[in-house]
Amino acid sequence: MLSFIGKRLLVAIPTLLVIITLAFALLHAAPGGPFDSDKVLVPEIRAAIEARYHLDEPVPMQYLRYLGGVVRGDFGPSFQYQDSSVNDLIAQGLPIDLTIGLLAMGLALLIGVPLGVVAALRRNTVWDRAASAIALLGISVPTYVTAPLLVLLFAVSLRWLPAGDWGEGALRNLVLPVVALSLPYVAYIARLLRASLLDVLHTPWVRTARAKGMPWRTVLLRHALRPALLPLVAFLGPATVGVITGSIAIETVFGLPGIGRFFVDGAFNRDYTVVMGVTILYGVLIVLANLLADVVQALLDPRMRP
Amino acid sequence: MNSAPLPRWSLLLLLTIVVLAVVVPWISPWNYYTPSWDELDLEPTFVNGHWLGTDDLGRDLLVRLMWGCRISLLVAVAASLTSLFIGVLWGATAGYAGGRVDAWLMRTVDVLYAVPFIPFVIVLTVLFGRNIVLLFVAIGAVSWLDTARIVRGQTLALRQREFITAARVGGMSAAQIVRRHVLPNLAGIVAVYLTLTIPTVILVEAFLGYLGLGAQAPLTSLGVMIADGAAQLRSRPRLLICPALLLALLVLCCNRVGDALRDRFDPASGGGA
Amino acid sequence: MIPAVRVLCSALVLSALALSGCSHSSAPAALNVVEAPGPNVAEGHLRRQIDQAPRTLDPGLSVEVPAQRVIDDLFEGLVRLDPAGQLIPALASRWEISADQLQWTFHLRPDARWSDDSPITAHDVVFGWRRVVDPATASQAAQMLAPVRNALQIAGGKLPPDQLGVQALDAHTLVVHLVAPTGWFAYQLTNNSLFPVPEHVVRQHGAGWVKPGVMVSNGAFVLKEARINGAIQLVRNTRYRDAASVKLQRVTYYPVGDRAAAVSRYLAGDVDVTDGFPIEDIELLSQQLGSQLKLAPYLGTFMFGMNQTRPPFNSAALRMALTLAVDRDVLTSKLLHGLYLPAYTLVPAYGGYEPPLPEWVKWTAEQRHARARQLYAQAGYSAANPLQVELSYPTSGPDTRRVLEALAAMWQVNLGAEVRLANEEWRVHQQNRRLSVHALFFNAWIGDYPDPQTFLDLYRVGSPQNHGKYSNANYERLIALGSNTGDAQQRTQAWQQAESQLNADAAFIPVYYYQSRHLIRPWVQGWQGNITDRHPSRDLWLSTQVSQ
Repeated sequence: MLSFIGKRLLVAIPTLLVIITLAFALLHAAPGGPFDSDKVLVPEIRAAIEARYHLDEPVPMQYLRYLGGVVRGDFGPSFQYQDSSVNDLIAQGLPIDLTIGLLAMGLALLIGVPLGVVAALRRNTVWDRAASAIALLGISVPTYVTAPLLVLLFAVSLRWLPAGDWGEGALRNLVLPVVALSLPYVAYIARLLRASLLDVLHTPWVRTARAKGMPWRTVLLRHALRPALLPLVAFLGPATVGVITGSIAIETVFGLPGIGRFFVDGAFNRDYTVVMGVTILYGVLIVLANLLADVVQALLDPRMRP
Repeated sequence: MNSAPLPRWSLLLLLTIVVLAVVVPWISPWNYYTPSWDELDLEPTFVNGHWLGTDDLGRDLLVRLMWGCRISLLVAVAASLTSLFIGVLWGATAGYAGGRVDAWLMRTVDVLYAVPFIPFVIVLTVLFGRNIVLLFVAIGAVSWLDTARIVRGQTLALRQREFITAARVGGMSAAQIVRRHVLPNLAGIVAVYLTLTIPTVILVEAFLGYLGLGAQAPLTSLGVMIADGAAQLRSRPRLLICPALLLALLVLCCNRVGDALRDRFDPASGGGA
Repeated sequence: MIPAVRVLCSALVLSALALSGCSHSSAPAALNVVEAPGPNVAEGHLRRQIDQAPRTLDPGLSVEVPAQRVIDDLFEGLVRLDPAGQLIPALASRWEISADQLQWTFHLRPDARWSDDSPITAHDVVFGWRRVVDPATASQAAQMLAPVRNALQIAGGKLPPDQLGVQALDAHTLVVHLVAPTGWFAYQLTNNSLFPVPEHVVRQHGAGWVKPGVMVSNGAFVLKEARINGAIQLVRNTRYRDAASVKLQRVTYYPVGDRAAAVSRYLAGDVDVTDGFPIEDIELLSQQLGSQLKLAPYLGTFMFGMNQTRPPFNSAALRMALTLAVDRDVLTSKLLHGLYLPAYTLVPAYGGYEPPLPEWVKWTAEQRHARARQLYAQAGYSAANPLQVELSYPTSGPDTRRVLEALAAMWQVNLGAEVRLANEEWRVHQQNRRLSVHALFFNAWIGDYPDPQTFLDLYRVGSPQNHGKYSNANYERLIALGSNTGDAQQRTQAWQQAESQLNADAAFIPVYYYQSRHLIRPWVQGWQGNITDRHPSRDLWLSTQVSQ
C-alpha cells in the first residue's frame, strides 16, 4: 500500500505539470487581456503597464518565467489586486472556504447517509419516496435560489441570523452558508448510497447472512455498508475538493471573502496569475483527494487493493 | 421484490412535459420574444389566455417556459449521452484493464478536473463561434468525469467477483466479459448517477450563457429562467416558481425512471449473477 | 411518484409563501423592526454597503467607483466636493489660475498633518502624481493626469517622471502646468489618483503601504481593518485637519456584489446605506420603504455605438432610422419604472449645462415611426430585404439584457429590422470593441467629471473610445474651440453645437440617462443626492432626532 501511495505521489508531479501547461495555454488563448477595460487605456500607457508585468513577452517565455516562480513557491503578483500577491490572496481566502466547505460536507453526510439508508431499506415505500424527494429538492433548486431564500426567511423575516458577512467565522455567520451549500450534496449522497446499497443487499453473501437469521442492523453494519460506500467515496473525493475551494454563488450571496470569487473574477478579468494559482491549488487537492479516495476504497473493499 | 414496477405516472408526466414543450410554442397565439407593453406582469388567468401570466416584458410565460424546456431537455440529453458513453467506457476500461492503462486514463481524468472551465469555454466560443453544438460539447466535457470515477471503482470491485473469474477461466474475451457481466452490473449505479447529472447540467447551462455560449436572448432555457427569476424573487416570485417547479418535476420523474431502470438491471431481479 | 410530488410541491409552495410573506403581508411588521435604530446609531458607527470589494485602496492605483467611496474617506485631495456636489477647498485653502489658464498655483494648509502626525507638504502631492504616471508603478489611472504637462509622454516611457508639469515651490505652494486651458481641472483634482500620498511611508513599505496597520492617510478616517473581498473598517482620524466637524466615530464598508443580497442586508438591519437595489424591485421597495429610497440624476448615458466606416452603418439614414424607432418613454416608464430618464443626446443635463434636444423629441410616436420607416426605406431596406445585424453586448445582469430584448423588439416591430442579440464574455467584448470588430454595440459611458467634455471626447477622431470611428471635421473644430477657450459661455456654446452635430449625424443611439439609487436609513443625516454620486462619510452623521 505504501509503495502504491509513493508511486501515485511521484506521478502527481507530471500530472500537475500537464494541468499547469493546459491552464496556462487556455488562459492566454482567451481573447482580451487583464487591461482591456470599458475605459480604454491610451495605447502607450497600456503598453507600459503590460511591459511592467512582462505581458509583452512571447507566451512561451512568460510560461517559463511563471514555472520558475512556481518552483520557488512564488505564484506572482495579482494584476487586479495590485497590493497583494497570489500567495497572500490564497492564504487569506482558503481558511474561509475550508471552514464552510468541510462543515457543509459534514452536514450533507449527516443528512444524506441516513436518508439513503432509509430509502434503500424501505425501498418503494412512502419512506423511500419521501427521502428521495427531500434529497432531490436540494439538487433541483440551485444554491443561488436556496441561499437568498434562507436569507429572506432567517435573516430578514425572523431576524435570527445575519444576512451575510464572514464576521470572523462566528457560528451565527456560518449557519446559513453551510446549510445552503450542503443541500445539493445531500441529494448526491442519498441517491448514490440508496442505489449501491440496493445492489449490495441483493448479493448472495448478504442474503445468506439474512437467511441465517442475522438481524438487519448487523447485516447492514457488518456486511452491506462497507462495499456500498464505494461509489460514494469515488464521488466524495472531487466533490470535497470542489466544496473547499469555494462556491461562487455562496460567496456572492453571503459576501464571504473566499477564493471562489478570486477564481471566477480572476477568470473574467484575465488575472492570469490568480487563476493559475487557484488552479494549481485545485489540481494538488484533486490529485490528493482522488488518491485518498482510492486508498479508502481499497480499505473498504480488499478486492480493490492495487 | 423481483418484479420491478414500471413508474407509469413518472413516464406519463415526463412524456406530457416533452409533448407540451414541443406543441405549446406551435399552437400558442404568442411568441417568446415580442414584448406587449399593455400586458406587463399579468397574473395567471384563463380569461386572457395567459395561463401562467406574463413576464415583465409582457411575454407569455407559458410559451417562454416551454421554449426554455426545449433547450434544457436538449442539454440534458446531450450531457447524459456523453456521460453515458465516454464516462462508462472510460471508467470500465480503466477498472477492468487496471495497471498502466488505468493509471493513464485516471490521471487524465485528474487533469480534466483541474483545468479551469471558464477559459476553456471562452476559447471554445472564440475558436468555433456561437454554435449551439458547442454548448453540448462544453457541457459534455465536464459531465462525464464523476461517472468515469464511479464506474472505475465499481468495475475494479467486480473484476474479482467469482462469476467474472469463472467467465475468464471459461475463455471469454475481456470485451465479452465487460459487455455481458460488468456493464449490466454497473447499470444501476450509472442510471442513478445520470439522473443526478441532469439537473446539474441544466443549471450549468445558465452559467455558460454568461460566457457567451448557450441560448441567446430572447430565447431562453430553464436554467436562465431560474437564474433570472432568482434575481427578482422578491417582486415576482412567479417568475422563479414556474421554472423551478418544472425543473423539480423533471428531476423527480427522471429519478423515478432511473430507479426503475436500476431495478430492471438489478442482478437479483434480473438473474444476472 | 405521487407522494414525492406532493412533498416537493408543498415544500416549494411553503417557500413561496415564506417569500410572499416577507414581500407583502408581513412587510409592515418587518418595517417596524427595521425602523428601530440599532446600537450602532448611538455609537456613531455607520455601516455602508458597496457594490464591489475594492481591489486596491491605493489612491494612485485604484480606478474603480466602489473603491473611490472608501478612498474618499481615507484621503483628501487639494479640493473636494461638498454634499451637493459643489467644489470647495480642502487640502489647498485657495488657488490662483494664470491669465492663459495654463498655470495653477495651489496654497496648501500649513497645519495639515498625516495620520502619523508628520506634516503634509506640496512634495507629497508631487510625489503622488509622479508615482501615478511613472511606468514602473503600472497604474491604470495614469491617464487621469492627462491634462498635466508631459503626463502622457511619461506614462508612455518617453520622458522621466520628474518632467511632469507639477512642482513644489516651497513646502506649501504647488504649481501645476497644464497642456491646455482645462475648465474642469479643479474637478479632476477630486479623483483619487490626484490625491497626495505620504512619501515617507510609501518609500519605506513599497506596495504594502496600504495594508491595515501600515497605511498613513490624511482623510477624515483611517484604516483599522480590511480583508480582501471582505469588510473594511475605518475609524475617525483624530489628526484630520477638520476633525472637529466629523461626527461619525466609525465607518464599516461591506462589499456585496449582488444587488438583491444588498437589499436583504439592508432589510435585515445589517447596513444603513446601500449602493443600489435591483431595478425589478423598485415598486415593491418604494411601497415598503417610501422615502428611504433615494434617486438622483447621475452622470452617465446608456447608448449604442455603430461602426460608421462600413456597411450597414455607414448610412446616416439607417442610423437615424434606428434612433427614431426607439420608444424611449415606453422603455423608461414601463420596463425601468421611471428609474432612468429617456436620453435624446449624449450629455445628461446637469446644473450649468442644457443639452440641445433634437427637433424630433417633440414629435408623436407615430410621426417618429413614419419618419424612421421612410429613412429605413431610403437606406435600401424593406420587408423583403430587412436589415439583419447583430447587437453585441457584454455579459450583464438580467436587467440590461431585458432592455436589449425590448429594443430589438422595437426595431423589429417599428421597422421590420432583424436585430439579433449577441452576448460576449466581458473581456472578449472589451477587446472586440477596442478593435472595432462590432457593427452595432452596447456603449455606456459614465462621466469622469461634471463637464460635457468627458462625454464629447468619446467621438473625437483618435480617441481610444471612438469605437464606431465617427469623424466629422466640424465636430473636431467645435471641440477644439471649446477646449482651448477660457470663456465659459463660449465653451458651453461650442459644446452645444458639437452635440447638435452628433445628433444630426446620428453618431450613436442614445437610450437613457442613469440615475443613482440608494437605500438610506431615516437616521442617516446629511445625505444629498448629487450628479457625481459621491457621498463622503465625513459629511454624514447618525441621529434619530431630526427627521429629514
